[in-house]
Amino acid sequence: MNKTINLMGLFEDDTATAAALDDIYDLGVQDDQITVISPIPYPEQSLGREHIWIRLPLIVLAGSALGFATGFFLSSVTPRLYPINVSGHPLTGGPPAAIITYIFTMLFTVIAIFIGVLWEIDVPGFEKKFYTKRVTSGMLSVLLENIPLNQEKAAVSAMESNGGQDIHRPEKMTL
Amino acid sequence: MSKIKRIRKSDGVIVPEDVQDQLLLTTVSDDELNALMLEPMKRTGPLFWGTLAVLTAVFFWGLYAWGYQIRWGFGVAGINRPVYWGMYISTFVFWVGISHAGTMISAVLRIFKADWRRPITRGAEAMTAFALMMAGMYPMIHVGRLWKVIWMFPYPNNRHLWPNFQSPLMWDMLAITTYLVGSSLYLYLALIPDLGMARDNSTGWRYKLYRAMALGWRGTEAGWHKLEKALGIFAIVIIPIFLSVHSIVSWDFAVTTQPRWNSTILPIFFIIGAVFSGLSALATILVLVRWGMKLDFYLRKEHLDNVGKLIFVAGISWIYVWFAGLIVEWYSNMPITVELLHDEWYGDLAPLFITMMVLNIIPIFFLAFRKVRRSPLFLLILTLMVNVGMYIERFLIVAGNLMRNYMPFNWGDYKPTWVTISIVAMTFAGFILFYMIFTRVIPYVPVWEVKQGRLRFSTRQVGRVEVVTITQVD
Repeated sequence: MNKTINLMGLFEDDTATAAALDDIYDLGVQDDQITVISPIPYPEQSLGREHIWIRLPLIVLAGSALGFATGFFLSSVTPRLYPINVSGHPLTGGPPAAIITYIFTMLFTVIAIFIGVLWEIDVPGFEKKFYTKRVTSGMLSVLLENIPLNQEKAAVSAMESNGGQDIHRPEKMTL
Repeated sequence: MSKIKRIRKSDGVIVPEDVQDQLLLTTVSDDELNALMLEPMKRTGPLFWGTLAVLTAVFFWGLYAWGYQIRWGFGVAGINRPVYWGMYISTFVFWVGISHAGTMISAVLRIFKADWRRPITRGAEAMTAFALMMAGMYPMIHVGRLWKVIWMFPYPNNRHLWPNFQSPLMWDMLAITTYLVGSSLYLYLALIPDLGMARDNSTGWRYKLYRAMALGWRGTEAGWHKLEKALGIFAIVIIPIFLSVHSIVSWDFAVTTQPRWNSTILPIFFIIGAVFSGLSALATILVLVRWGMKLDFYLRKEHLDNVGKLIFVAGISWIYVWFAGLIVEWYSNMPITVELLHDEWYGDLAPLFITMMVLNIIPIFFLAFRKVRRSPLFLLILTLMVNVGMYIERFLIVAGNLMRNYMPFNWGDYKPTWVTISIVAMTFAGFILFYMIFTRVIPYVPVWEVKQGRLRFSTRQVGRVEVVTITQVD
């Protein structure tokens, strides 16, 4: 079995990072072996990578549907299980039920957005990870994981030739 | 003779003040930007600790007064027939109003990609969260028997007690809970990258705190993309929530048959009033935080100017909606409504009414001037005036209108007691106290958003002047 290594290089700007990624792809490194860590979000595809598929809208829709069902159940079904007779009021009033259903729909929607995005980003995760604090100083970090040892020199060269700095085999650190 | 000052070729290219400020932002490194936010958080002088001590004392005094009210009953709060909703509910409406502008302004400006929003959004969102926490205390205070609050929760029990979902008070509790949950999660999501930055630049207890709160954030390309997507969806969802919360609060009043409450314009009046007072509170806070933490570099006069413009627009709208309600009430000539209007204009409530109008209208006039909006001191004074005015407005709507009703034998007056005033003071002290602590523990300015803004920023020369051009990157 081929021995694999991890490699990290730092870049000062996005254009250099995108160029280095091009060269790294040319070496045959796969997309799931490459992670770019940056201090700010860059526009999608600006670093030359594919569209990132995200399930968040579906999670949000599921949350909204669950909220709607909960709100409807509480406002329209439970009053029949626990009847409260208030003079002249129907057990289930349409407009008040609409308000309760709406509120629960929105409540579950915001909770779904929050839980959904944390799940998508894969946090919380306090285990040791490959990282460098220089990212918060404005550097972009290109991390190559599990690339074959025989590709190391070529990968280092691809980074160096595009302005990569401090190219090294990283250690996992506590975040 | 023309008084227009000509700009000649010899004057060179004119760089307006705002552009100069923004250019300054592009000259500092990321490390310097981090330090410009993190260093002021560690600076606390005698004034800070002294203020904190006074606020803590007021807060605990208020807690004592609350305990006193629980021990001796609701009578000690001065609540009596016919004014069952006094200062507690007035202050509740006030805090809900203050909470409104925060997350709303952040969400609206995010959706429309207004670049100037970046440094002020977190402060605005925190204002919403803390104001809602204070508002949320009032139903518990007002319910009197605090331990029976659990009856508002739907849980199967052997006494067959069940919340009445047709009650506006139930809608209220749920709507405020939803807005508090939504606003807090929205605040926290946008905070995660800055907590990561703070973690990487801290030691000691701060490191432990930021590490726990940053949840292991690294800033991967996919992580950023998903976070931005979530914030975008959140911003869209939070706006209808914001609109519904104050509508629902207004329905507490509007669905009754009480004169001057039973009106379809009340939700709009509440929302506009909330935006007016909330934006004013935001401006007050921005000026004070800018001065207290010396954050002039981030919170520039441009931001004060823009918030001032929004307050001006909200103020004009408030006058319009107030008048729209008044003209219908006045023209209808309903006896009790006329009585209430007379009371407000010429009777016992006239001093409060006149003070409210003066405090709300004079600032609007001054805010029309750019120099006033850009002066932190003037803006502070004017926005404080608006908030005192808006508090009085809430009091007149709630307690003022309850003094008269369809049964003249049931008319009466209302005077708050030391217990009421202490409890109300507790929430004001609590709000300022929690906000002050927040500014020293959490990065007040969204540094990652400011850094992202630099990526968007560029200028070009148009004729004799340098203008800002915006690049679309988010």
